[in-house]
Amino acid sequence: MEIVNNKTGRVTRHVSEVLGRLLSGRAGKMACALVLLAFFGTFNASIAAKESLLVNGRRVVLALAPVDPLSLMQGFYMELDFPAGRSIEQAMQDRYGYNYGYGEAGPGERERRGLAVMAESDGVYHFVRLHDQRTPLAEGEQLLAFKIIYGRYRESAQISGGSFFFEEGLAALYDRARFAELRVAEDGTALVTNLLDGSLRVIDKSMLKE
Amino acid sequence: MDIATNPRENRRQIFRRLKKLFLEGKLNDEQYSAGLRHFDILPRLSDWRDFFRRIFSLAGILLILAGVIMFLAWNWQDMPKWLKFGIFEAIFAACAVLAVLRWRHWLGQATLLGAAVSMGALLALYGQIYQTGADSWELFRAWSLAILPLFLLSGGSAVGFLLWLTGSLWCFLYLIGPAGIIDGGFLTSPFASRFLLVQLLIWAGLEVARKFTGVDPHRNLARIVGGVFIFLVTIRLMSMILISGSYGFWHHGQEINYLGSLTFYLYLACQFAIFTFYYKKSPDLFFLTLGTFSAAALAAVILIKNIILEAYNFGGTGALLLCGLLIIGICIAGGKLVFYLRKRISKNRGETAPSKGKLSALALRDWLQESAGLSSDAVAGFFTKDLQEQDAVQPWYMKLPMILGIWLGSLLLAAFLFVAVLDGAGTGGLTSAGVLLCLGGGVMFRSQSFALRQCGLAVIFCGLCFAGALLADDTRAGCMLYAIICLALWGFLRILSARTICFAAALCLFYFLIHYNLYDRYSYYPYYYDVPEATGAMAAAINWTGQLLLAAATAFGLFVLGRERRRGGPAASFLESAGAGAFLFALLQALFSIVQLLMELDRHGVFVNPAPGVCGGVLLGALLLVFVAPGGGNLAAQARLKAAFAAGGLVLAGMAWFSPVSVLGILLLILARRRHDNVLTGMAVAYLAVGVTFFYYYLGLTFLQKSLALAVSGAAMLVLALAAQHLLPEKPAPAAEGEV
Repeated sequence: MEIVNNKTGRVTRHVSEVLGRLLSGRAGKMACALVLLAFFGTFNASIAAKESLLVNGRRVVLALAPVDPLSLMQGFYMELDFPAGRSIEQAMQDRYGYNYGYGEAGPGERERRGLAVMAESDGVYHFVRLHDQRTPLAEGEQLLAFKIIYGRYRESAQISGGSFFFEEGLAALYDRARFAELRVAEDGTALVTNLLDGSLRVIDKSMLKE
Repeated sequence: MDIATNPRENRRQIFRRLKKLFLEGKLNDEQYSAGLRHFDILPRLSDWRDFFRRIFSLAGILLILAGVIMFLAWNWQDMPKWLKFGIFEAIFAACAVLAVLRWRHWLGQATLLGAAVSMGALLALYGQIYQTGADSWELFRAWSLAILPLFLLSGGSAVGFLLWLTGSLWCFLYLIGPAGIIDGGFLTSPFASRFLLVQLLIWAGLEVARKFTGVDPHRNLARIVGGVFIFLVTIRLMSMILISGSYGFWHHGQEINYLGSLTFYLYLACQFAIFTFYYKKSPDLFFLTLGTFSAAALAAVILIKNIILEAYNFGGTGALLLCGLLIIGICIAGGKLVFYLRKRISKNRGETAPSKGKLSALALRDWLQESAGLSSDAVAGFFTKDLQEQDAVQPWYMKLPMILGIWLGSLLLAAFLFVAVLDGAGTGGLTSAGVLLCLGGGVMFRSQSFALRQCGLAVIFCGLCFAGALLADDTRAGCMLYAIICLALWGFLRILSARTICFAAALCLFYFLIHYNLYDRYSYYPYYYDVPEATGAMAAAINWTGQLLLAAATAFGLFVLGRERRRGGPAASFLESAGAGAFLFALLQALFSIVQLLMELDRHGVFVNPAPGVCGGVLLGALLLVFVAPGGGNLAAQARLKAAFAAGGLVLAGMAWFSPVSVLGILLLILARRRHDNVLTGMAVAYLAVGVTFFYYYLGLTFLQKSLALAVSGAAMLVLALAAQHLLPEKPAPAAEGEV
């Protein structure tokens, strides 16, 4: 028993010494620098990807029903409840039955899917159908990605981030929001860029004067 | 024989003993100063220079980063996004470069923490600009994963703490958010198991990391995480026991209670691991104490559930008596067990022999006889008396749970007396019982035994409760109980003498008398009526009376505690107790004022913001210290000290206007540093946390104003760090050195 203990002790000491040398010396410093640099690089690459989507994405406008709470670090925001989201949930239930995700995914898991939307004469896009690989998009249809979020009792569909951050003090202004403007990439990835009022005008601070 | 073997604790003990001798008049001012110098007790100006430089640099960086985060939360629409990203990336890059360049240096550690915090800010900004969603758990997940390698590589405890905080928030927000709906309390829900499991894994991971890397700061981090885990799992089991139905704990309705059983067996496994690992492999009294008192708390709840709530169906008076006595017994037995474990650990380490080091009691004895000229009989007499009070060196984590248990048991006994003996008693009966209890408690309070003293305090408390019961339909009753509870809470602190508590009590009662007598003239209503808010001149009078008292208490406390070393004897002892009492009153009143505001308890609508009082008090205290008590040392040292007091007073008073509780926390931190006291350090951190939280959520300012206030405070802190570096001497010069 004592031999085993001594052996374990030697191994522990050896590992401890090696780790100590690695972390306290130049290697630790360089590794930390690499981690910081990697974060910086990845972060900026991600910004570039989003900017590319904003420039090249197709403009899509969806109707919404907003609510506004306060985030821990990011300030005031509005939760975006798209009527299209309810159409998705209804379509999912029609296709897969009630509790369509039950048994396949645990609470908290998410799954990316797509839907087809099409613009009406007023330029606002509406839900057409759930999209799958077997049925290609028809003329005028636009692919829009959404996430199914599996809850403990029910599932919900979320388009884009599901929220819109705005400057403190502008909550009353954003009460006018009736539509959301999105930029959508070819694969359906979407970013909310602006909220629009009932006349499809972009809401910004210049409206405070009205 | 000294039980303490930790140099910090030894230093604190010598400080305490020298001060006691000084206050008793056995040492004169010169001898006391010589003793402090000989044992290197008080931080020298050069030590303060290092302390202030580090603390102010760290606080400055963190405040500026907090200001930047506030600015981010303001989400200024007119500011271009490239500029927003530019500012935050510049901060991150500056922190990262400094962290790498000054690797393993204190500045490197501070800036690495800054880089870790700004990573979170950048991720938040990214989500804000590209509207990627407001799920906070995702933000904290990304943040935790980004920090993890930094912690593994640097081993810094501050980054480790941030990692634990963000990781726990990630887990918690995920569980209450997308993972499901919590039924009832969070702790009794099945999902909390995962949260607890994650805490357990982090705790185990930290212990493994400590074993392999030998980085000691991980010990404190492991204590925080392990402490939170034990606390939560104990509370969870207590909740489960209390809500279990008539089928008992092992059944949920007619079905088996799998969750409760699982938690119980997990708890048993943890207790086994604690007593195996922390007793034999890596001795740590902190965990042994937590394990012991967690078991004692569970035993107390089982007793209350089975004896009071079930068997006697809420009504049996004998149940109260039995339960109260058993709980007191269990807690005292727990305390004795921990004390025994502590002795065994010391013995196993070979620490039972008196320490021969420079900071040992033996060294102090020799110095007192040889240098201070005290007779050997006087020294022996002093040490005999002092060693009888040896329980004063028990760590706070040993005392606190014992106190809680004793108080709970005593309150049950008081309830028994009230229900069984005094039911229907008139004024005379209640008053007599109250007086008798106070007298009995007073006798017990004079005992040398720590447990008996606590019992005495609890009994006095019960007696005063009876007196309070006489005024049950009066708002004054609430005030009295409020004041007494304040004192009871503060009685936990070992540094406070009975006299300090008395001074604080006097001030509290004085304040409440003024406050409510003024108010009662305006309107007198029992608690069950809606009380109209005081308005006009009356409200102003009530508010400003309180503010002036708070300012006076803060200034007086600062003045007395700031100058400290003066003539010995009873007068100095009296003054010191009065100063500590005044400072205690200021701390309590400021804290309770904001608690009233947070919880909307102040029905009178007056005196809700302690900012003017604390701000004025800090200014006045600094002025007194500058003009009345410049401290020891030569003229140059005095001038530097005056400049430091003036600059510090101005900055802290400015900050107090925005966050009074944080400023009191900073003052407490300085006092803790001076007295080598971990309890005060813990209190200071708690005050800072409460102050910052209050500032973030409840101050009636916009994010922009808060951001500017934080940035200016941070810049001022950095200026103070620079001032400390340039104004205070770098190396001690014994002949001219003055202690602050």
